[in-house]
Amino acid sequence: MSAAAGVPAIWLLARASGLVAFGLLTLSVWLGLAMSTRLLGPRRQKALFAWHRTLVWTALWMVGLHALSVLLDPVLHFGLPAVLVPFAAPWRPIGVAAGVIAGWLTLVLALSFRAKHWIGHRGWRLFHYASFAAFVLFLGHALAVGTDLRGIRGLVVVAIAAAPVIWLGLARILLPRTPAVRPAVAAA
Amino acid sequence: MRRVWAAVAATWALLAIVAVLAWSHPPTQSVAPTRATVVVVKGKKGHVVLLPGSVATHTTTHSSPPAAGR
Repeated sequence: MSAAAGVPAIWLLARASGLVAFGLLTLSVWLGLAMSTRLLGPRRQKALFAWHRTLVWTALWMVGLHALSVLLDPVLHFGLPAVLVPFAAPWRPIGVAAGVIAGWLTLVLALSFRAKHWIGHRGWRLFHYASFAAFVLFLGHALAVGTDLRGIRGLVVVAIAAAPVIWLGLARILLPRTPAVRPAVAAA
Repeated sequence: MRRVWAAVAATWALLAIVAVLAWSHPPTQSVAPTRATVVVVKGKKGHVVLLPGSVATHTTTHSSPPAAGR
């Protein structure tokens, strides 16, 4: 199973799925912040929220594919605990652990949409701040162990991914919030 | 429908990146020569001696000593 001499196809799949997962999660974070700042208008909130959730679940499928392909890679020799348990990897345990923790955290965040009824909107909102930690951990994982994000390429990707997050995060904190548009209630 | 679009876009992105990565790692060329080269040497008594090329080339794992005066 070889795409090119010395480069197994499973290793290419591991790298590609990791990059796609990172791209989708970055888009999801951007969208979430754009929603909370009402940057794209208050009327599109419902559609944006739906896309926000879809992007997270699609990214999680890619994270699963990334973990599976790393597991099947004949060179890395990663066992199941290495891809599921933080700090259990035999190779660069801290960098890999950042990705494992970020993956689990993102799964819990995605499931928290369904648990909103039990934990309440305020609790869900507070817990959703953990998505910033997940984003930073994914970024750290990509830079620490990512084959394709070394050197100047890594810095460019960090700048492209993180700059809108910082900008929108500051806008979220500093700008006054506009209330959400609710359907007009019939007056009589 | 939204989920289908997201899945299709993600799959295409995945395949495109796999293709780019595979293209950026072309098959490695074999360093070993495909044909044995021979060196023709004329001996002292006029004999022509054929030596394989690998015998003529000298390789060593020993590093050369530093040049005098350095």
